[in-house]
Amino acid sequence: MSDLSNDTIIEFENVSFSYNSDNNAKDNEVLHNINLSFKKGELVAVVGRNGSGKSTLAKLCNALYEPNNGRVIVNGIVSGTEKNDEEIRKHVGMVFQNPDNQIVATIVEDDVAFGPENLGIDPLEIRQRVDDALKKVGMYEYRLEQPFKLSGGQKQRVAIAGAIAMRTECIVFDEPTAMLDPLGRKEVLSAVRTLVDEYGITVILITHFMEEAAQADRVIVLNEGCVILDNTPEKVFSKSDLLNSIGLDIPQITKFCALLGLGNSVLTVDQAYDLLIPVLEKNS
Amino acid sequence: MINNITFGQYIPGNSFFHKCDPRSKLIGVFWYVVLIFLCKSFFSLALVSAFTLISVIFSGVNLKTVLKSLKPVLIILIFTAIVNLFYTSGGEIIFAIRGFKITEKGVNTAVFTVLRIINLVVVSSLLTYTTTPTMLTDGIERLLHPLTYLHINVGSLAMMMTLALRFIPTLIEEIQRIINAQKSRGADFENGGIVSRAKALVPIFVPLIISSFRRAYELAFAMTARCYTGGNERTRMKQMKIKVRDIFVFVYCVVLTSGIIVLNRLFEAVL
Repeated sequence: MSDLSNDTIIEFENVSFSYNSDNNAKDNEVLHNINLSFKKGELVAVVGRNGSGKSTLAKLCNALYEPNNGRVIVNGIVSGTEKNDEEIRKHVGMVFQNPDNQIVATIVEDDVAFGPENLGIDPLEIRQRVDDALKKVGMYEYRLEQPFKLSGGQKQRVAIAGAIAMRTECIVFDEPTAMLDPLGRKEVLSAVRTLVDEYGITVILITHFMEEAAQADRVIVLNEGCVILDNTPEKVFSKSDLLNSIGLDIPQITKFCALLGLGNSVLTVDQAYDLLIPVLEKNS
Repeated sequence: MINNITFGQYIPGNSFFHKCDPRSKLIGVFWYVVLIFLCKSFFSLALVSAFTLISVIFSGVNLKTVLKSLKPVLIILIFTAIVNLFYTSGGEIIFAIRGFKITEKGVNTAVFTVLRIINLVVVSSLLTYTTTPTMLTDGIERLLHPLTYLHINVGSLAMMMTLALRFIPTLIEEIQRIINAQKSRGADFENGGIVSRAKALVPIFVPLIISSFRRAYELAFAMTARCYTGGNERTRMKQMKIKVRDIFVFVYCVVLTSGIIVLNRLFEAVL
């Protein structure tokens, strides 16, 4: 067990990972020597190109994978043994990219109950948790529906409710919006935001969309298995040249404002609006 | 091509049978099937048919829908009727052409068998009409619970059934997508003989199997992430309770059983 300060939930210590562990060749490694720590109550976005190791990082967070070297520590528990891994999964939940492949039951409320049922919780308590979780993501009215009749965004919210019902302190999202339409993306993102702001759940958001990353408290940029940037969104997206050189983009609104000479720390449309209106009013 | 596959054919409703515990329905239907085979005379079979009709009324399912459930077995019905008609000998000869004889016993057997099959199909389809697939698998899981003492993992069996049911609509969607993709590249599923049509199905099933494996792999990850271990220590949110109406199902079966026993004794056996 490691001595961690109380506000750290997940800690990566010199973590390396490769998919075929038998030959120790370094060039097979997906992640090299990662050192990271995630604080309680944070919304952290992880961005990077395809194959940069984002999804692997996500699966290391709740012990679906074990590191080849180094340690992953969740709330003081080191992953690697079966008993510890099960314990870790009670602390860290996960929502995957494809909503169809993570819904287990034929009725919404049965699916949300799946996690708590696995934990062996009392039926009455499960009922309460399920209703509570469905209300938190705004899917309570749909509790008796069949999942395949729901939209993508709704299915993802059911998946989020499934993680909440387990009372996890941290939820890892592995590209939850990649298969959704703009409306679905909006629904899921606002649900994510609510988790962090209102319920104090730590969220690690793996994403392709820079606009989503811009809403995080902290952005981690991965490239070829290494962390190359780890800072606030303002600082990360001000390094547009570095990001472009590894095949990533900055949010369009940031680019737009930078081109207008309004600085390169604008992240949202609202911020841009506040900056632009005075300028426009002065000119007219 | 795909849209007419329906499974379970659950008809939402609020009838007596809809509200029954799936376990009592499963046991009841099993019992009923045994009873159908215990009938020996037309009188006992008439009693069973009357009870079947009452059951249909209790299930609140439209009589038309029930008759529709007989459509798929129509060929079997006709086939059994013909076989029994010609191959049962004994009794008075009613009709004879070129060595084929239709006897009184043949007619009786044919009618009797057909009535039996009709009862069988109607009763078992009432079960699926009034029970959701989830309830059905839950009921089976709980009925098989004693097997856990023989170290059989009933929970895993039930989980497999649930997942199979859960993925039917997903896979139907997937098949439709693959068919469209192959059609858009010029595949022809409608023309040609049986052999060439069967061959045309290969490019549908190969991608389907591959994508199913990928889904299974992802699903396994998602289930592990939600602490599924496959062990027997799971609890269930929805508890089942035997209520008064379930006792009525058993009484119903007991009454029918005694009726059949009496009628079997009083009247001559057909078979």
